[in-house]
Amino acid sequence: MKKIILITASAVLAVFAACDSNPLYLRLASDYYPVSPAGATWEYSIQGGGSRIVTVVDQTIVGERPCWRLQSGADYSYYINDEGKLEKFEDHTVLFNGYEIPIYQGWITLLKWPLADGMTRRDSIGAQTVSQGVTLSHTWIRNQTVTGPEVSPDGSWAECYRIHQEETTVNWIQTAGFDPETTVTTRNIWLAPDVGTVAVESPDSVLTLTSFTGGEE
Amino acid sequence: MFRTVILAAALTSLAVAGTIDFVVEGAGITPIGGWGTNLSNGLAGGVQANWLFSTRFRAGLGIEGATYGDGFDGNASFSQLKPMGILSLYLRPHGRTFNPGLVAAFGYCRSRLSSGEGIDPASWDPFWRAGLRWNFSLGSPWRAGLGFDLESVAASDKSGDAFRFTFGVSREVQL
Repeated sequence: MKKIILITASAVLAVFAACDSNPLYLRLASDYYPVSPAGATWEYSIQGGGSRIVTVVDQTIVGERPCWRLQSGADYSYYINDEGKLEKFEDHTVLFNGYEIPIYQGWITLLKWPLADGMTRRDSIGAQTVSQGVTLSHTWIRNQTVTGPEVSPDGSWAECYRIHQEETTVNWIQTAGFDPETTVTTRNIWLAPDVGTVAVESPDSVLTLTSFTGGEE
Repeated sequence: MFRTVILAAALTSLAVAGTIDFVVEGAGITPIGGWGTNLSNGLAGGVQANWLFSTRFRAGLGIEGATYGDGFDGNASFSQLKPMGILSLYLRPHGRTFNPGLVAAFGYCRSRLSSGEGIDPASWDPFWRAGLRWNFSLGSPWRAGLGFDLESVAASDKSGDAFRFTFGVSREVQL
């Protein structure tokens, strides 16, 4: 009987000794991409000089849906963070004869919650339009892979998820003298709990969050 | 501390013979405090073996598994595995229709999240639970118990609190 007790006790201790604790419940409870309230501001430094400020401007309606409008410089972007997913309004254009021809506008899911290490996502758009008698076609594919949790590149933020994005865009002006034009863009985005984007690395720029103000509910 | 409690309960149960109350229990779980925002309510099932120190006081061991689905249209799932030591006190142990009781449990919880083909690192954390039971007879030797618990997984930085509504069936066995 004593042997059984000793073996059981040793096994229980061995199991518990091998157990790791991590802030899983913190990650589950956190908002990894806050897009509200109005006034929330993220300020980034750009490697090589300069800065970029992103601000939540207000709530508006786009594509018949209420959403939050974010401003960065002269550009606006629109987000809905609700019902377990983050959606972004995609407004795609094709450059033809010096004009930006609108070819696709719509809501596309950017991320689904909760994030987890190894999660993958693929979104795509296929659209075409006719301008000045010429057919323009547009194909857009975005592959995303989530890794983490990890620390942000500057070491300032823990429990981040890294989103690796690879976007492939094929624009084709279907007339003589034009071939399909393919562009591939890759970037890594680090998201921190209840802060959002804290770093973005792409082949042509590195952004690092320098200050964050949460705004007022 | 929690490990010591579990070990003490295990050794006590193994070392002493007497009357054991075997329990099979199911529960509905509602997360409290934001960690379940993107998850559905959970379902749990477990078994327990409780040694009767006296007609009123019991101590034992149990193990429970719980699972939560995606709260929306995604494919996330969250699971918990909880080995535990259990202490309970019943005020009218032979009451046919009303035997109120207090139950407390201490143990460890293994939590695991999967979402969109991704799996987060599992976490082992201490947890505790406290609740009330309304125990009643189903006809000798079977009894049943209805009740509710508050429980908390004491994970780093943020605890995983939840409310449980539980129903269990039990049978006492003389060893």
